Amino acid sequence: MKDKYNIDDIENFLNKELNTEEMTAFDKKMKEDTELATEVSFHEDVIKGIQTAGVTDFKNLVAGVHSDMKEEGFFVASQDKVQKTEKKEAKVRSISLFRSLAVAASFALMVVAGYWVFSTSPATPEQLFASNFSIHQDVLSTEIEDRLSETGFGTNKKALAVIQDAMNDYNSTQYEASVKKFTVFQQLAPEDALTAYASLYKGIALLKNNQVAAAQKELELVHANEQFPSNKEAKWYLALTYLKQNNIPLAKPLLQELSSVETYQAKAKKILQQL
Amino acid sequence: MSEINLADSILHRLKRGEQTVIRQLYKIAYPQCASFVKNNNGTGNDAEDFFQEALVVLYKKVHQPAFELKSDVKTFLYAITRNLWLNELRKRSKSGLKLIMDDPETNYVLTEEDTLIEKEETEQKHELISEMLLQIQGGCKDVLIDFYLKKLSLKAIAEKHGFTVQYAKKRRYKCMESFKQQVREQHERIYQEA
Repeated sequence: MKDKYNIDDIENFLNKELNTEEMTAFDKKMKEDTELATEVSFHEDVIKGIQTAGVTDFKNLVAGVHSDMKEEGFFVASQDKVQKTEKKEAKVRSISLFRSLAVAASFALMVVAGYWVFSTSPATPEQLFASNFSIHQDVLSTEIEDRLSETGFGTNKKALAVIQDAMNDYNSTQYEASVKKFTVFQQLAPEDALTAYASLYKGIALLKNNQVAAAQKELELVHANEQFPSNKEAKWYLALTYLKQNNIPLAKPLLQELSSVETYQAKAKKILQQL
Repeated sequence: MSEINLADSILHRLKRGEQTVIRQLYKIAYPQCASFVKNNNGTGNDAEDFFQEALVVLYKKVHQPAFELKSDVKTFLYAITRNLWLNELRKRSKSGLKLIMDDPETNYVLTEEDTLIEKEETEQKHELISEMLLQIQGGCKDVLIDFYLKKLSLKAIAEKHGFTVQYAKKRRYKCMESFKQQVREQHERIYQEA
């Protein structure tokens, strides 16, 4: 059911984003229309409820991180650090204890260094591609379904049905069929906001089918579109395409950019270490 | 990166609820906060619990439009933990204990405004509405939280969820309308219980 009152008007009032005249007019309107006044108060409660839910979500996130760090031994290490701080006044230490600690520390260092050397040992670009490439999840179908179920939102239903089919093929690993349908969609609706997504998924499907040059062309096109909301995904898959082509000079700058993007940070840094 | 830029970057990422920044905050501030709690009659578990609470307080604060960090993040978290722990000690009727300030340089005094949020209790009706939202399946919960708490722009929401910007705008409306409708249906229960 659609709200009787405009959400934007109510929120502009609540956020004090109206000018003095508009504020006075809205106040007056609320005095005359008690239903509006009730709606404003209700809307404010709903927003506060949403904000409370967001804080609860964050608490769960912190609890998850806390539990991971506990498993990793962070709190034990911190305790040691605290104890060392507390005991820093006590300067007398047993030499033998110091020696055994030094031996233990050297051993730990060797283990860590060994792990580092092992974990960052060079790999070929092709191997790096193989160990990092996976299909991007479908985030598009909900939007397509919503648009298809409505009238007046997006006029090109035929094109929407085509991209829906393309995503169905993509999701059922029929990559070759999906590539053909993405191409049809691009031709039917070149101006649609979903066209950039069609290029991204088409590029990934082509890459999966080992049509690397075609994938490169598609992904370069979508990557050049800086306004594209999934530009970082395009960057990631384009970097993988360059790795697959053994083109390290082109892959590296993209991976360096991805090193500061949370979703890809860890993977990009690891690849760079191994290149 | 300068200290100011580092603090800005941390707060910005915290506002977006990034997991990696929580780890970073643990590494930066936990040892000192834990030291304070433990030096003042607290256990290791107390230190862990109260640091988690301090992170939540900081999270709430970064979403306040007027919030401005007047010290570095580590000092601020230390001050919040200290405040929370002192309140807890008072509750446990252990007032009068000698406090050991393990690092006088971090003796940042919280302003009245800083402490306000710690005292603020969420109204029960908001808790009930929140519970309803947390039970929603699908992407609406995240879209609403991103828009109304994290204050992400529609472009940022589109980027995060893989929507077009036009659709992100539409989805936010649709999610809000449908959620309000659900709350309306439970209206009596929510407002009677609260």
